[in-house]
Amino acid sequence: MSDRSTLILLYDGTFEGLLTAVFDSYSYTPPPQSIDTAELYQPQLGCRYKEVETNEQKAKRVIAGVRRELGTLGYRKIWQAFLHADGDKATVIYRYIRLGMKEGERVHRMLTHPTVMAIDKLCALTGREGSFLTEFIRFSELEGHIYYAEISPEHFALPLIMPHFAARMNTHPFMIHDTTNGVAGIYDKTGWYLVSTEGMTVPALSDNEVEYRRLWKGFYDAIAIKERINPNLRRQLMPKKYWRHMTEMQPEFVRDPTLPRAATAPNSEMVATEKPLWLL
Amino acid sequence: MELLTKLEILADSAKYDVACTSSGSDRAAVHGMLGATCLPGLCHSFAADGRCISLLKVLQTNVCVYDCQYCVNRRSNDLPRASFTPEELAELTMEFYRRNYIEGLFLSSGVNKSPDYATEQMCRTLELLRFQHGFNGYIHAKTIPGCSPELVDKLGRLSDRLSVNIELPSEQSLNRLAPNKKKAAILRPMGAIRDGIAQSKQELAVYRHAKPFSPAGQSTQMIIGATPDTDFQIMRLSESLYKTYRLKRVFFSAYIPVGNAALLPANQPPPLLREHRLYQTDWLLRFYGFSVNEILDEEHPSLDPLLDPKCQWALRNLDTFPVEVNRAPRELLLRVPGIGVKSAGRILTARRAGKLDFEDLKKLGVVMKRAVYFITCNGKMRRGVQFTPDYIYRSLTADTRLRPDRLPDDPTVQQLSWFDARALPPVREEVAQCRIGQL
Repeated sequence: MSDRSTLILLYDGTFEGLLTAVFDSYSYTPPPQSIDTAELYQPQLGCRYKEVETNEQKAKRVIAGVRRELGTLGYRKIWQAFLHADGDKATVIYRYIRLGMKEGERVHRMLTHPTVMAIDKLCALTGREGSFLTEFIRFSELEGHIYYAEISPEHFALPLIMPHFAARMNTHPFMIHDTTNGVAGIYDKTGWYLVSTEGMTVPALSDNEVEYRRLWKGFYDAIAIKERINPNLRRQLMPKKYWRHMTEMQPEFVRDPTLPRAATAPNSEMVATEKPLWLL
Repeated sequence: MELLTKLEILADSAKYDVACTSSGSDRAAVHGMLGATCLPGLCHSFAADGRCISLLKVLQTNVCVYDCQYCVNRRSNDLPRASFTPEELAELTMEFYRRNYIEGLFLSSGVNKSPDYATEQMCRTLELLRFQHGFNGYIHAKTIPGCSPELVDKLGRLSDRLSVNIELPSEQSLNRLAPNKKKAAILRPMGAIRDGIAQSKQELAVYRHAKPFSPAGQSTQMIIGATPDTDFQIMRLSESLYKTYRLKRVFFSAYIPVGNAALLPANQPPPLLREHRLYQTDWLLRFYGFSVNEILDEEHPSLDPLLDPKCQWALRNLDTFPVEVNRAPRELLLRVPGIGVKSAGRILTARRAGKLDFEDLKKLGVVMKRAVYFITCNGKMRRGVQFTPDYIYRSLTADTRLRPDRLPDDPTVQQLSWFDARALPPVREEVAQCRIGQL
């Protein structure tokens, strides 16, 4: 008697593993309902679980199929969605690939289809975090003229931001340390690559660094127009979760009161407590 | 004077210049040079007033011999004065850029001896940046009215964007408040920049390595609320500036009293709502295919503070509506309140895959709270919506935070020209009569 209970495939958490699972899903009828990570899945009643063995050849064939049917855009979507931290991303990508194989190019126009909306949402969230990080990352100069930045992203953002910085900061080596995932992106003037940060020690700050941080904080405080102070607007445009690693949002650089003030500079304290003078 | 003090003084003096975007230039990184530009621009931080910080916005010097009444740096104002040497400003820019604090430099200057002298100092800073330090990031330079054409050309070859501030919306206000800046002296360099950009584009079409002139275009800035000019006059001037000088953007800056200027209004809050409505109208001109005469004219010279300009236009032109979203062309979709440029594009894409209904439109990101009064899906308006001016106006203004009793005390906000909602609070009987069609 054939077993008709719900089938769920388990993969090892890698991109190749997921693509192998997608390949294998075509050998089952009815097709598996979803894909979960082998390490973290919660067994449920009435479901069969089958672990998938990662196979690079199968993964390559799926990529070729996606490129053929959905173009570079489709491949970019599944790659970017996979950077998301959510456990359900595997199922979303799996359903999108199966829909794409069936519908082809048309799937790029089905903007209100729930599967397409789900993967677009994952891409939007990872892309958004990548954009925020390119803007809000702050480097510090370390001894030896190396620049170092720390980030605590929700998703795996390093592959999105490393090309951007490797291009524009190509004159000096730098490192971006992802504390959430324990990985660092390193650029050594020839190219960039990712390393694990286990057992890594960070050299001390260079002599100039504190001075430049102070200068930046001074500029940041001076540039605000006090009649227009609007902490809500600032928080909307610059989410608080990025403030942790931003030089200008650190409280330790409080103004030295003995330095002469410029004529219309607002207090640092006004920033936190004062309501906007106009009420909307 | 310590560098930190200089920086605070000169940033403080530059902060009223709002034209600080890093957009419009798409220059890829060059190996061996520091930096690149990003076409949409990047906002590296946001100041306490909510405005984006993308460039190091400073003056070369805030010593000025002019006495423009609206300006914090005018000769008669008593404040600390400072100057950067070109060397220290170039090095500061490079160090800030390496730390990802900024996209580039926004450089303006007070007129410390003459326009030519001030511009020459700025050119020295920019030359050090580009040639000695190898800087490939974004530079926005202000052109000082009255400086010579050769210096404007030099400035344009070194920077990504140039701008000249119009400052005041009419010639008589300019004569009264900034007698040193003549209208001709402001418009002449704008014309020169326009011609330089056009010529440089032709050169680049023929020879790939020609030196570009101000590749991100030109912009300007106007102060709002310092003079009695109406919204109609301001937008009409903006429209003609876009047409005549091919500007990328016109910026509006809400007037903020600085010091005791005798000729200017004092003790009034900055007209931020008015500035916001003007920016909304500016967007309609640039991206939605509107012209100023459709929104404002001699009989209606002011923008409605309760409604955005697109809703204002829609209520006056209800014969254009309702629009069928499954059939309408792009230009007509853009005219619907609640449908923006992105949503219009998504509607056009999605309707090739199947007919759209109201639920689909919501998923696509259309603002249904406004759009639902102006569209049909498959021939029908949404249930419960009445297509009458009264009903639509009351629905659009019903749950905004801008109720008549909560409008900011802004003396430059004019009387509402279409419905004076202060005189006509909605009465229950009247609303009921609306619903059954008796009003």
